[in-house]
Amino acid sequence: MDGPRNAGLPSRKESTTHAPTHTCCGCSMRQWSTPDLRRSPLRMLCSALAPRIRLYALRHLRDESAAADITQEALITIVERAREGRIENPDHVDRFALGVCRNLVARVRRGEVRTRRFESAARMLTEEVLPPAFTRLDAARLALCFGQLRARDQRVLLLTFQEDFGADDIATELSMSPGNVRVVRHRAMSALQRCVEGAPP
Amino acid sequence: VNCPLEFELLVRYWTHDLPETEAEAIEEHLFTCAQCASATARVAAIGEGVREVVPPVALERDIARARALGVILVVNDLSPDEEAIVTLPRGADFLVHRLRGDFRGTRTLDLEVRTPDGAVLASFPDAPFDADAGAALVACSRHFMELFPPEAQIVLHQTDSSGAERSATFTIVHELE
Repeated sequence: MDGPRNAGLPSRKESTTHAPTHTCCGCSMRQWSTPDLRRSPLRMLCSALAPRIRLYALRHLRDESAAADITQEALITIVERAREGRIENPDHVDRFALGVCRNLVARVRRGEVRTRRFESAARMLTEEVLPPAFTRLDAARLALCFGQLRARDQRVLLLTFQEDFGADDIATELSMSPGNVRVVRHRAMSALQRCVEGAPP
Repeated sequence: VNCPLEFELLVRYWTHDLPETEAEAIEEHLFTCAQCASATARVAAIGEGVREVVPPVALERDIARARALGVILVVNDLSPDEEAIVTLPRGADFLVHRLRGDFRGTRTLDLEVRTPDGAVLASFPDAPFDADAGAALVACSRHFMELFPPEAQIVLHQTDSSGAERSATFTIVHELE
């Protein structure tokens, strides 16, 4: 995360002469050093990265509040590094962001406690672009749609998400093959998604 | 990584059912591809929703799990062909109707929620049931009671392994405390 300063990255003085475009959001980074971060492309960058960071953290930590904390922490780190000109390859700031996420998640898993003093402007910016709480589906609608799945398909999904069983464990529990579990699982997920996002059940 | 990522791959990714190197390649892709990141977020939303769902037709283990997580449920034992008035107490999340019956030999159970005049409000084909306990459990959330009229019939259609069918009707009047 604390990679070497990169001579190729625009410094504050040079920032108007080199304006790479992010692959993640398409914005120019030429105003990285703009005093008012809320008006800078950093805001666009953070807006583009925030949902992906949260998704990454949620997958690894299975905890929405921890994912929100990681998102905030990662965005602040990215903003700080960007302003300091310390992102190795600005064309691939998304890769840098992933590296930051991996580092943070590893630290959370190791139980390390962070005690940082956030730079106020960076914190203001990142708080503005934090995505809302993870997309909440209509609980009643989800339940009704879920009830329309076949009993076995429901059980596969419940074992997957409520018991955190892998395909092999589910296969043993339900006397199926692991390959069959995977097929049932993704078809059931697809059916559930169509029902939840589509016409009322 | 082939973009867009296939739905099955996204499900395997989200459920940690991929070799680490493959999962990492997908992770890298998701940080660069808005379309695939959005598709993954939709898969995640379903998965995280299922993590908290109480199935509308449940098994005892589902009810026990919900209780363990702090969900407040009130269970009513009901017999077929009798009318019951059930009340969801203030502060409770679910009414659970334990619909008694003989499920021995039952291969499939289809369950319908109807109005008294027969209009189908919701149907749950191939629903789970507990043959040994002789019950099907219907978890009726506060949300359902707002969606559906207070008086409802729950009709169980059982099919045994020979294909023979039989039905049982439970008439239930729901009240909110």
